[in-house]
Amino acid sequence: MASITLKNVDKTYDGDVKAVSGFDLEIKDKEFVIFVGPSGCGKSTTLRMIAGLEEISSGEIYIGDRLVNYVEPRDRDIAMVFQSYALYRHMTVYKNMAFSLKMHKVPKEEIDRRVRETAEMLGLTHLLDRKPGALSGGECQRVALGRALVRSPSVFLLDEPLSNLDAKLRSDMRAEIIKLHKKLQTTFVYVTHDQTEAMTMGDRIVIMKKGLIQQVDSPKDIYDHPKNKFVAGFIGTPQMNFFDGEIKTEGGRCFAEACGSRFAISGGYAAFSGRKVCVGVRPEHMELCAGAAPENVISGGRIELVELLGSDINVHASLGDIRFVVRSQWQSGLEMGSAVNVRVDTSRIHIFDAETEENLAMTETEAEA
Amino acid sequence: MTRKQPGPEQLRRRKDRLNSLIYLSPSLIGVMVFFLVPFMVVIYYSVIDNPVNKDFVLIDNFIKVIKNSAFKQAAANTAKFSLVAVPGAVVLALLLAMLLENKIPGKSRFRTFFLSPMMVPVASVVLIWQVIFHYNGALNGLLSVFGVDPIDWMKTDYSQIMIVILFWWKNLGYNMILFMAALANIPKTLVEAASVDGASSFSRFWHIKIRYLSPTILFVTILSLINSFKVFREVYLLTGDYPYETLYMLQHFMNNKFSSFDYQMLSAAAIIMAVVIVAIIGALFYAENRFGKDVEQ
Amino acid sequence: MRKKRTDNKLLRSRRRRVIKIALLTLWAAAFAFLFLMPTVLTITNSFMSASEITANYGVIFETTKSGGKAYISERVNLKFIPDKVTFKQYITVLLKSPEYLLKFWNSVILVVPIVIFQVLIALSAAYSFSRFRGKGKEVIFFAYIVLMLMPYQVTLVPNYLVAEKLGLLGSRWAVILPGVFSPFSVFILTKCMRRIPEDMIEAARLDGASEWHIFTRICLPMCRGAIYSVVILVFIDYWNMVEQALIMLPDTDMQPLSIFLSKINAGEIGLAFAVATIYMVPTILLFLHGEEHLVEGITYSGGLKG
Repeated sequence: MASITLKNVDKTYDGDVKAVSGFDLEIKDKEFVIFVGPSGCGKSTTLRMIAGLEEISSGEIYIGDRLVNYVEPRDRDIAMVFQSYALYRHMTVYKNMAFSLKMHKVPKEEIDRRVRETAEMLGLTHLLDRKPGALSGGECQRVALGRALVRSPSVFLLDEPLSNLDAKLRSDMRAEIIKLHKKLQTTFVYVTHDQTEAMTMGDRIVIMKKGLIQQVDSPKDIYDHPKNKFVAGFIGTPQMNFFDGEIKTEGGRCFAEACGSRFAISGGYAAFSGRKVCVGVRPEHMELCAGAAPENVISGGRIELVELLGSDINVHASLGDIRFVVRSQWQSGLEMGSAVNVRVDTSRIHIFDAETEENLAMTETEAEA
Repeated sequence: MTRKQPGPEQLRRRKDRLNSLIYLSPSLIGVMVFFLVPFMVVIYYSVIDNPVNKDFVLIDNFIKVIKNSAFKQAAANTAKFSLVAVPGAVVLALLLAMLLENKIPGKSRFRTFFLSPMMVPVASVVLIWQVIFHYNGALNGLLSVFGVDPIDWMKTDYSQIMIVILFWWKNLGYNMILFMAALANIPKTLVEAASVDGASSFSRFWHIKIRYLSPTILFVTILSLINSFKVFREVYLLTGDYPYETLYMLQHFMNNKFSSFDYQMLSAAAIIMAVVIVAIIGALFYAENRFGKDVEQ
Repeated sequence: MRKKRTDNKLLRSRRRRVIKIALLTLWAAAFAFLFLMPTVLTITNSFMSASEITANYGVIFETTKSGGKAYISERVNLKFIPDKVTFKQYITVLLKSPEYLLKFWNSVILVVPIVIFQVLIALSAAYSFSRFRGKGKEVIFFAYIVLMLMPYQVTLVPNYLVAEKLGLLGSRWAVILPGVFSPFSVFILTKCMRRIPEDMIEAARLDGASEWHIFTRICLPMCRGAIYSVVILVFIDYWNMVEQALIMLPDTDMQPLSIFLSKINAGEIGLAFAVATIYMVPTILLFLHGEEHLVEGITYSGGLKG
């Protein structure tokens, strides 16, 4: 079986630089898990520890039932696709793909069959006799995939495989990889810094920051229920808007006061009355409205910039020192400098503690993936 | 009729050409005077029969040299020596470099130690070599502990083993540095990919690393080849003007011809050597080109 | 139960790793010993009195393993031999037999000018080769490389002929001049200068710098490491000189110590060690002081392609 379990894994470099701390995760067999986060968050390091390319400072990693801490990469039954593809430049595509089978002493006819099958699957058959130097970026990428595929490993590790491709290729390849996963029914662990990739490709996403796991959940859950301000801000384009504010109770109702206005929030927040908070609202959960209102509307904003995105627009607005973005359908009459009012969908507001940055709604109800 | 004035670009180019020559001239003049022009004279001398008659005899001198028994001896010795010493210098240095690749304590200290023979003048260390390799010396002493009879290192065929060891002692450090740099330049992800693909340590080396090492292997081979001719120094300082026959090297041959003012032989021999060396190096280059083509960086 | 099994496995692999490193370190130490031994022996033996040397090496090296072995087994970390340490040999060299110092001076007066002028001329040539390219230039550079590859057996003949023509035979110039124009330094320094980014030069030119300024203010400082290592390499090579001196300087008075040392009689062995150690000093100093540069320079010289 090809589940992966990481128990309290740490990685420390000399000089006490902790790249990864207390990483706990259970990846189920056949799952597509994505590690995502800003550079330096430890996602590649963790992947490489699973692969056996980095030593584990403390903790345990199991592939299936097997403890693999000191098992050589080549005995772990894994395959890896590198960001730079790492193709053997002096070997043909065929030999590149055949290499690992050769290392495992697979008989020649079997090698030939499997290489050709995989090449067929990836559309590489006509390239088998070429050397990597004569291939384009996308073709190299597919060869790298093929090289990993040919081994039918129990675990697939991919380290930012699409980073070196241009945008169009990237979106094509994304679809290819998803299809591949469905077809192969193998465990995929994928590392990326691109949150779009993370959201569209994974069964579950592991968001990391500075070596620590921030949240592990399905894309939808992360989007709807981000555990802290970092996660909320990392996922979603354009980025969620954040406003400093305070929780107030009045006449039995709860409000979040921010942006010169107040927003009705659920009564469950009453316990946090008086707390300084950060109010988060996604641009797509705000809309331009005509007039001001006492509640749930930011009034007196000024349009700074309108970005045209086809049928949608991003309206960048400001209120004094505060800046925010509203996602809306295209409308006419929006000019820079003109006044604007924005209604907020209060059912989609997130309240984060100003200090801990934790999502207050999730501190009581333990949101577990 | 006004003459066309040269534009600023042309002026610049003219100035460049002038500067280029000026900066090169000291070196170029020296090289021409001391090497290139006299080499033409050498070629001239090699094709005439003597400085008095100046008759052209073309390849006669060359044939005379090749047939000369002393030359044959020297050439054979040199060839035998190089065939063992040079590949050894390459392979052993590579092994040493790979040894130091690992995480052993005091790595840089070891590097200094391995490089140290380079800084010791041959003249200084020859004394200890005599102590070690003399018939009554330390090495035979050590061998006798294992029940091996004493060997005359200097006056038998074993002398060739001795100078190979001396050669390696002096040159391995330098070659090792070159290999260490080359090993460090192999793209890490490639080796990792091979690791994941299932290659053992040996396979990783044999299938991947060697390709990236081939330019350095070429360079170290050529360098060691050139240095192998300098082993004359050790031989001369150890054995003087009249070494044992297996230690008789080309330089000995040349020295003799110098003292007898036989310019014809000298010139012919020098040219033969030059041609052979250029041919060997050319062949090596060609071989490396075929082998290391794809992984050019 | 499961935890215990995995713990053992971890321990075993860790132990295997430690053993591997230990073995490798042992190998490295063994090699290091072999490489260092002759040098260290020479130095330590120079501090032995004449009687001890004779006792150990004899006029015809009559002692066997006790002679040589005693020092080897005591070696390890000790710098001095258990028997008396004496500076007597050095005193003899310095005061009573100054002829060795004369020969030392011979070496100096040959090698130092060669090093200085070879590097200077090479810097100038390297500048020309790196800044001003052209078909003809490349041909000349190629000729330089071919010349560099020739052993002394080939280059001595033309050198000799010129020396004879110019009447320099038997004088120091016959050795110094060919050494000054040796293409080795040109090769390394050209490689170094060619590495300097073109934009920097362009910017300087735009700023109005003259050719000389670019040469001295930009190229030279940037090649400092390469210059240092070239100095060391050239010095070491010529400090070891034997072939040229034999041919061009038949007069023993002029010969450098590199040759003369081998002519020491059997009766003065102790002296020989001291002289040998003295002869080592310049190169050892250069080496220790500039090892990093040296390594850098050696790495530079690797790779003949561009």
